[in-house]
Amino acid sequence: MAKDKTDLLQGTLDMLILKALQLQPMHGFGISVRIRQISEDVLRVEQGSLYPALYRLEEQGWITSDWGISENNRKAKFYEITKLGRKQLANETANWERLSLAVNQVLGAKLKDLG
Amino acid sequence: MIDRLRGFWVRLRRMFFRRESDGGLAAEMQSHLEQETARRIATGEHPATARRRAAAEFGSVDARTEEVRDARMGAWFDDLRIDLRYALRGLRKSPTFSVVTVLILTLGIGSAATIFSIVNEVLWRDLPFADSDRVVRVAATRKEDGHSANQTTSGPLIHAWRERTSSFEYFAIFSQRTTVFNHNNRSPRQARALVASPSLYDIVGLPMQLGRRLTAEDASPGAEAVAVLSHETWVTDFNRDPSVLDRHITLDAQSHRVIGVLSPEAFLTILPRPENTDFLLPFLEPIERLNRGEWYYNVVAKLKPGVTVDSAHAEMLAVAERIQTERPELSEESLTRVVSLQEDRNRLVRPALWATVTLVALLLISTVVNGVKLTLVRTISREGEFSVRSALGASRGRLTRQLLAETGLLAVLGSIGGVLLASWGVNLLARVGPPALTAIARFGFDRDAILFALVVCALTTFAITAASLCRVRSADQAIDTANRSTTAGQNQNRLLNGLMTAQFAIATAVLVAAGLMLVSFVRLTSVDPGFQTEDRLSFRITLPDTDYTDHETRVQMFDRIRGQTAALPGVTAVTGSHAPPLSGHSEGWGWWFIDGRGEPEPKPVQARVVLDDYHATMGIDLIRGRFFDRRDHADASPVVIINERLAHNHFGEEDAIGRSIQFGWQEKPMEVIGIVHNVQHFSLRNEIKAMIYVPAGQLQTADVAVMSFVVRGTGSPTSLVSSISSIVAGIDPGLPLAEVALISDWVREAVALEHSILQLLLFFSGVTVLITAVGLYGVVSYLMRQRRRELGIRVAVGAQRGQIAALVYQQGARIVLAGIALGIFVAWSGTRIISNLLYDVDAFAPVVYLGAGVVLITAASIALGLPAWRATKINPTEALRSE
Repeated sequence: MAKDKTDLLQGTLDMLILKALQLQPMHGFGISVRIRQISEDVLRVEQGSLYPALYRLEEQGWITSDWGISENNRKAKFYEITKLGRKQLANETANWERLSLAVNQVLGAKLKDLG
Repeated sequence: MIDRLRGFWVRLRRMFFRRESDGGLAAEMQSHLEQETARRIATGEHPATARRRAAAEFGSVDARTEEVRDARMGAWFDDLRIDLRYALRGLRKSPTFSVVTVLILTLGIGSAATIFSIVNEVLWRDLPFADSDRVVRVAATRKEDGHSANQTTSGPLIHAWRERTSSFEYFAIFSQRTTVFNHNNRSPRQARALVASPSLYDIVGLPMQLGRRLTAEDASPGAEAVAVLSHETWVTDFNRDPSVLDRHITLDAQSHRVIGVLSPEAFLTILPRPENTDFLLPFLEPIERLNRGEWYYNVVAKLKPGVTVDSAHAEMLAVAERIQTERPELSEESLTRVVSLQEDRNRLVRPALWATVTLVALLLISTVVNGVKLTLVRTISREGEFSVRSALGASRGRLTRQLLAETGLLAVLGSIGGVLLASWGVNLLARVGPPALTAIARFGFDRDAILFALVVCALTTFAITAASLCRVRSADQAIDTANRSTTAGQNQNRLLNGLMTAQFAIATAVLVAAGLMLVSFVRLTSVDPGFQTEDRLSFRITLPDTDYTDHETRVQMFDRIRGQTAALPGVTAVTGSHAPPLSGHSEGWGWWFIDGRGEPEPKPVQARVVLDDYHATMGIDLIRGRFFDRRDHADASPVVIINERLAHNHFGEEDAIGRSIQFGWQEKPMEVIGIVHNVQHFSLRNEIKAMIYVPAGQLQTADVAVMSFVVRGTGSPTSLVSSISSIVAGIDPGLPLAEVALISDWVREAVALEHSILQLLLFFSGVTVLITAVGLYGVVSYLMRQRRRELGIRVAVGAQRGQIAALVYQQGARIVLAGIALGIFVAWSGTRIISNLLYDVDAFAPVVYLGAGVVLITAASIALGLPAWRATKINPTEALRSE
């Protein structure tokens, strides 16, 4: 119950991180770059919220982490999405779609009424 | 479920591996910064600029690390802080509930932790030396000594064992001896020496403060006389002087060189009264030369590795049988046994401790049940609050945590109180506890006891929270029905009634046990000891062999002391015996008794050497014949007085007076001149044995060097002590006055263990009754609040106050009576646990069960009084409007 009711902003970041990890394991820096790339520079993730979020996700059991070597030969911590995380991502995506649809409808309706 | 477990596991792992994880965090931040820099360089920025910009954007690594850490721990701590604040606020809102619950938990946990500390130390903890599980007592108890505490054996028999057994690595012999210690110009004092084979110290490994311990050479024939001082003797008599080593001290007029001082930690667990040991002396070999009639010596042995107590016991039995056929004169008619030292040490107190443990466990259960019940009642009353919170979005987990915080807070406060109470209780028992208990272990409140309190605390919290949660679950639904004025859940009332009934059952069982002990104690202390105990003072004189070499000089000495003491003003009579009844002395003067009728069948008998006027002064009544008098001097024909038991057992219907009987150590037969009443010699528990009294002056081959004088005075005999000690000093300044005591104190000491156990049980049962009454009050108050509306209506339609009060009592009566009935059944089937502690009480004595019932019903009536009174004060208009 508690997990379903996480507040919007926090939930959104979590969703974005899970989405970024969907294809392959990545380190923190990679994740921030990836999110920026996918959103075409619209969404920027502050480091101050990225790492606490990673910790939170790991604690929920949605991602796991392990030390590895980055593409430029540096020691880095890689995060990998778990089965549970994929399920959560699917849930959240569905929720998000429902929510955004609803919001769009409301906004659309309002516009229509006004119009 | 699995998710939750997983999350829990991850959190748990983090908690323990935080250090690693923190280091990892900093490295991760550093790595991020470096990659950002690398990216900027890759896009063409100058390395220095790239580094600067990356750092500016990222901020300090430390700050970032800190943020993540805050996110990790912070949330948890924040929630905890909030929970605790809520909990405190909640508890402050109902101060009576909080204080009462904490106090009850304090009493329950405190009592349990106290008893736990003692039982842990006495029954469970290993003795304080290496391989203590391999250390055993080996004893042969002569049949005549029966089951009494005496486990001593003769030197030649021990030697025979030593030669024929193979189970043992070490075989140590020891005995305790009273010696006279002369030190510098101070007045001599009586001192206790432990005389032991040096191998004893290989077994128990005593730590030394100074010098060396005794070795096998010290015990070899012709070795220099040496002694080790106890730490206390070193402190009191030698003022902690380190130069005491190699100095000579005088024990029994013989010079001994001091070779060592024991460390204060040294605790002679092998001895019945270790605190009384002043000196350690070597037991001189060869022990086989000792008199085979002197069964004075104890054996402690260490099993070889791999040998069990049982197999050693089996070997000893076989060896004993061989000795019995080969050398019957050695083993006499004895029972040989091998017991672990631990078991042997606590054998006297074990039944009492188990009974206490059972009772305190019941008390603890009652405490927890009570906590569960009161919290349940409170949770139910707060149903509204929980429903509203739940409706406002508080998750079940959140509510659970809050409940946990509240009950946890109560349990923690109660446990802290309990730990404080227990540390006080353990110290109290260590100081004033019965010697039987304090002598065998050093108690202290330690880590184990705190651990115990912690476990109890956790279990209590768990039980209480679980019960409350059951309520919250239904509260989820309560908001739906939202109809709180219906008679609230029958189920919850049934649970409450069940818990309450269980508590009354426990209280009944505890009260019955305490009641049985009380009746037993009253019976025990009203046993007629067979002699007078008031206005009589005793002191003991030990004559050293060196100054008093033959029997005549000793008896003369005893007579001089007796005569001069009797001349003191305020003294009406003086006598003495080497072992008066209940004095704690029962030295092996039990010898073979041969009936003068012809067939020489030896029978066991206890013999007491007495001075003139013994029976009259002690107040032992004559049945037939006469007491000893002036006619029975050393040169007259030998006479003897026998007790009723002997007369009855061996002469039966015949008159024993004028018959003659023969003893092993009296060459000439002695004529029976009187029959006296039995006395309680060994304890007050009616352990009557056949006994003879022999005048000291007429001893033929045996002799006696110790005498406990008994002085009968008018007024307070203790005021005589100083004049008596100056008389003794006047006769021989080298003689110390020892064991000065009132005879009434002997009687008190004889029941000290029973007295302490009784006090403990009474205290525990008092606490149990209190807890039960408080619990009943809480539950009935709640039930009555539930029925407020109904009561209001009843008052409105004209119910009298009496009728309303009767309703309250009715509500309580069913619980109380059912509980008592159940408790009587439980007690009935559980009395086995204390039956062997009882003296002269039937474990099913109706009066005890009746008494327990009366106490509980009275307590219940008082507890119901307040809710009843409150119910009669109900204002119908308010009651009806409030819903």
